[in-house]
Amino acid sequence: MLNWRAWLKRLDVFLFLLSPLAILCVVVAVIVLADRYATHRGDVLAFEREGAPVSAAVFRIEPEDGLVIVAYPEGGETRYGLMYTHYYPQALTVLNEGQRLTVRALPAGQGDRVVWEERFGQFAGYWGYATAPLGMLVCAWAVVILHPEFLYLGYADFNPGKL
Amino acid sequence: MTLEAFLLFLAGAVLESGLLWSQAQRGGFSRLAAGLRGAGRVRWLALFGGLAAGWAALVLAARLLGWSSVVVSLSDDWVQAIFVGLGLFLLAAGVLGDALLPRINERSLLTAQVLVLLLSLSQLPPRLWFSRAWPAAVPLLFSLGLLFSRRAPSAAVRAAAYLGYLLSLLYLTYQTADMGLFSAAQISGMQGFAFGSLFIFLGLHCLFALRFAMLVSSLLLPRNRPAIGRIMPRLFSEKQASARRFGIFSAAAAGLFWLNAQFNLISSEMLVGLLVLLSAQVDNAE
Repeated sequence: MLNWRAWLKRLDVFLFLLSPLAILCVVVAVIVLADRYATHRGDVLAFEREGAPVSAAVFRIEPEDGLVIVAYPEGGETRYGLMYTHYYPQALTVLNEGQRLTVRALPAGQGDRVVWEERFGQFAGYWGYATAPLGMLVCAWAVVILHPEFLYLGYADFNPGKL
Repeated sequence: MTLEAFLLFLAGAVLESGLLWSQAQRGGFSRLAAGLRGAGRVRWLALFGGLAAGWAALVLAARLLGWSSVVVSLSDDWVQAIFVGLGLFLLAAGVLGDALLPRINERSLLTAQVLVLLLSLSQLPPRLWFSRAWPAAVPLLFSLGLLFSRRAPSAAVRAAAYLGYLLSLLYLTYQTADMGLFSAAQISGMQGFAFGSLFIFLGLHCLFALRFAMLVSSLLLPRNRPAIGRIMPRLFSEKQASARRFGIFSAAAAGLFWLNAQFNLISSEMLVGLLVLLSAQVDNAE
């Protein structure tokens, strides 16, 4: 017969041993979240402040990379822009090669990325970059809540039996 | 930032680290004051005089050699190496070990939170006060509850109040974190010095905030609650503040804040940061 108490005890010991790693995971997840948030916020601000709407045509669609390449005129030449579709996945089904659309592009020398002007709100409010680090943060934090003993290291005598 | 301002930035950072270390180990300012009054006076004066003279000689040498106008930037390798060193020092001594964090009391906690609230109110139009200033107001309301309840709070309640204090400092850092100051061409030596001290003080507290937030969240489980009582006396004095003295302190701080805004002496963010630093380190209960 399965002894649940013994299994729970083993699981508890396993989580205790895992807790130093979980503390590190929380720290890493917070750093990754902050970095991704700052990068996305920086992109949104750059497109808001320096981006200009231009009329473009869909040049090629690469569904496996989630990418729509658009072509638009600039300074008498044709410039190609990369429109990533993870901000608006419906773009892959709605858009066709040759179709015209308005994109927001940055001045030359600031990268080839463009944003779909009609769906700029979706781009600005995108939180998808946080999904993976948030999942890691929640799991690791739960382990830390169950076993915080290592957090007392350096501030209290370390004796897990007493804590 | 010019080399001269960077040297003063480093002087501020080193002095602040030394004071934090001294305070955490031996009682800080009170020890310093006792040393200046008693037999250790010559030793203390020689130490601080020597440090100040050494740094002044460095600044002077940089000026005489024409290096004072040399611009240093965060992308310089040697500057990055210094920042990595500072970060590792803060992490090892202040976050993993308990050699740096100052022990605060109820009054310094309240003063810090009032100042952060004043700063956020001064930066917002009145119509946005309720919607935007709540991150500064909520920890203050909690701490005011502690001030007016005359019962000694439990370790868990003090831990929550201390977390509120750390969150206020995080909010202050979010408002003042301007590494652009580092690339500003016209930064005075005084600003560089204050920036260095604040960099250490706020950096230390922000790094510790994550560790402490994890500790406080573990109090959700009743079995973890007794353990917090073992570290709170190290971080937060049990001595309760007097409402009258807190009122006088807050009024004086608000007056200083208003005067600075009128005469535009230093930026409001830097003034608030320095007052918080002083309230945590000078106004320290043993």
